[in-house]
Amino acid sequence: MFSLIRLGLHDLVRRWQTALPMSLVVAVSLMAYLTLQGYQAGLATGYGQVAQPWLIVQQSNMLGEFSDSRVAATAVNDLFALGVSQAIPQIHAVAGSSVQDAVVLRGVDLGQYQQIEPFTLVAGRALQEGDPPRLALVGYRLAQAKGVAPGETVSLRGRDFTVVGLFRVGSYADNEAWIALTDAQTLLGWENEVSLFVIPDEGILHEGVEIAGGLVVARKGAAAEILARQWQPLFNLLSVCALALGVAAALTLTNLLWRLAWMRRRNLAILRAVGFGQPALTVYLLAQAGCITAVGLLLAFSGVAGLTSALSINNTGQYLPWILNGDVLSNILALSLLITFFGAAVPAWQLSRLNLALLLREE
Amino acid sequence: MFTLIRYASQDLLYQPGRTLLTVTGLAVIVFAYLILVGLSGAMADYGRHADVSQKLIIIQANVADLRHGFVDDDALQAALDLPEEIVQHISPLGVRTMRVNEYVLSLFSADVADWEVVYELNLVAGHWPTAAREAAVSEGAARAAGWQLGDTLRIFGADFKVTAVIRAANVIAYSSVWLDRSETEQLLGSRRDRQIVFIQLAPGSDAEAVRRLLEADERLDGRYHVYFQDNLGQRYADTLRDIRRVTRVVNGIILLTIVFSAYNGTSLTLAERGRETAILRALGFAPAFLYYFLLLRAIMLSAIAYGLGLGVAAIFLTIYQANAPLLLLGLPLSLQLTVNDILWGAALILALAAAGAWFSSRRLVWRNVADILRE
Repeated sequence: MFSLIRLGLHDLVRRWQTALPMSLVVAVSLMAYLTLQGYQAGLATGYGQVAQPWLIVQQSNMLGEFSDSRVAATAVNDLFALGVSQAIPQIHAVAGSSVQDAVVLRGVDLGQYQQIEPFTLVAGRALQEGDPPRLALVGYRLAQAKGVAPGETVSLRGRDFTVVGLFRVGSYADNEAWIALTDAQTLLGWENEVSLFVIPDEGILHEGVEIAGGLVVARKGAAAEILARQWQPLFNLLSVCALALGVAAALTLTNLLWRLAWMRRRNLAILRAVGFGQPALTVYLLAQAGCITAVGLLLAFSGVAGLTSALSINNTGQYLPWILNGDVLSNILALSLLITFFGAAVPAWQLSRLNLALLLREE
Repeated sequence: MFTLIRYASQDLLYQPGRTLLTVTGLAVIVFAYLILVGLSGAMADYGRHADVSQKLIIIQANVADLRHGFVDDDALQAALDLPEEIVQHISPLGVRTMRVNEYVLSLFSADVADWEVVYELNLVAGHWPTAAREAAVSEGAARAAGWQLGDTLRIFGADFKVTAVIRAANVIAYSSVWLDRSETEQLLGSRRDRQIVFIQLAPGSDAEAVRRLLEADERLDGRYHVYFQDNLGQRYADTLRDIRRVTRVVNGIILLTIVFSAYNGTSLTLAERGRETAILRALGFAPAFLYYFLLLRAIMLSAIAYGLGLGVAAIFLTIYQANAPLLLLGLPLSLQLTVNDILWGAALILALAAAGAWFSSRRLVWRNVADILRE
């Protein structure tokens, strides 16, 4: 078994000038698939709905957790009158003069915001009650994109805010800059309005319930899930292309291995004559296919690392992260194995059909 | 030349199974390449409007998403004060992103009287809203959400009856709901519902001069920009810019596989037929003849693969687009291959295949005949 693997790899190394370009063909198809899978995982992780113990009250039909919803701050009284124990105001808006420099802004109640969105402090400190105006707590993805650190300033609607810390939530919130609610109201000219109220899910109000004044109750995180779904048609189309490239890689690998094996047909026939059976032939070809695919996989990872660090996808301040998680890893390994097996199976089958005596007679 | 073509054709037909495998592999790559060309082309073309010369828009400056902007009374008045002889219509437009069930749509509000003349909406079914609490929905929205005439939409806590299905000339209104301004003013307050002011100029007016005149108006005071209408589509297209860039880079990388595949195919052919090549040379065939033979063989393989890949891609795109365009973040993208795309693609792929064949054959063809025959 090991001797056949060694023989297969030895033959491949002898033909490295052919094997390396083949690895590059495999690398391109795996890279396309890996890029796509990583972005899909980033979308699912960042925008997927997690079990939230919170509801939000926002203007009906709006995606209040991103923008557009405007609610009078006095609506809090109506919520308390309904029996709600807590109503935490927030503002969600987009600042910036163009799509490229857009920053997603969140105005938070400094006394209560940490209850709603648990975060890990990556650097600096959190915003706290009694802070002076014009301070910002910045998500780590936004900080990376803008190249800012605690002590530096970030420009929001033309005004400089000093970054006091960097946070990480593990969701789309990592693209945001959090500032005091009053700062956000001043910055946006919203006077006494907010985007929404976050309320605990304590059984008093339920998802879909309408409240006077054109307000509606929604599940916190639902808007993100709906927005994430808007990307699905694109991913579906790109998946067709990525899988087509996988098929192309498998076909090209089949062609290559078959032709390499054909050139060594007499030697392989001798092996069969001295007792190595069909499985041995398959091992020989699988070793070659596995080696080519493994090199391709390594090249694909390097390529994706370069591609995703050089090119970021920014949709009006929302950066789409590329994530390598267990699912992505298992999917790319599955595709690699499929390419390997398909690439080796057809030549192995073809070789097994050839007449041994005729092969041995060949010069 | 004809001899070369004949030899190359006979060579490809000599082992049809192997040729088929090579062509199929290349054709699948061509298919993926052309689909991505269609996609990035659709994103590049997004929002281009045929007739833009006689429509201007006023929008707030320094606002990344115009839905968050607002055109104040002073700026509106500056437009209203333009001489009557150069202006046909001035129409404030409210723009919102709206969620109805699982669908994300655009909500536009403008005077119903302006819908046809300013916004180029065409009535497909039903009648324009004439009474309170009536709405129009675009064909795209109706198709996505399954809405029909007479259905009730719950918008901002009020029930609206769908009385019209419309088709919009501007793609940004592909998935949209339209309300009369009076409705949104009542529900939201007028202060929030004027993100754009459309100015339709009279035929023959110098649109650029009017644009400069308005921008210089002190009531706009640098807080607003005046653009031609096509800027609107460009702003939406900007949101797709990064996706387009990634698509183009990936497509460039895909093209490299053509080079590698052609390189492999040619070098294997030479390795398999080293002895035959040497015999041909010993019989008097010049190395250049064999060299051109291999280049032509690679080009012929790629040409067949390109034709096959193009055919499959065209069929795929036709079927894919048959019911509805690709919707990306609510924006409709019309995937199509232009003649330019097809010709450029063909030239690129044939050139890259020739390059791959050239890389692999440049040394081997000129090797010493005696050395090859001794192997």
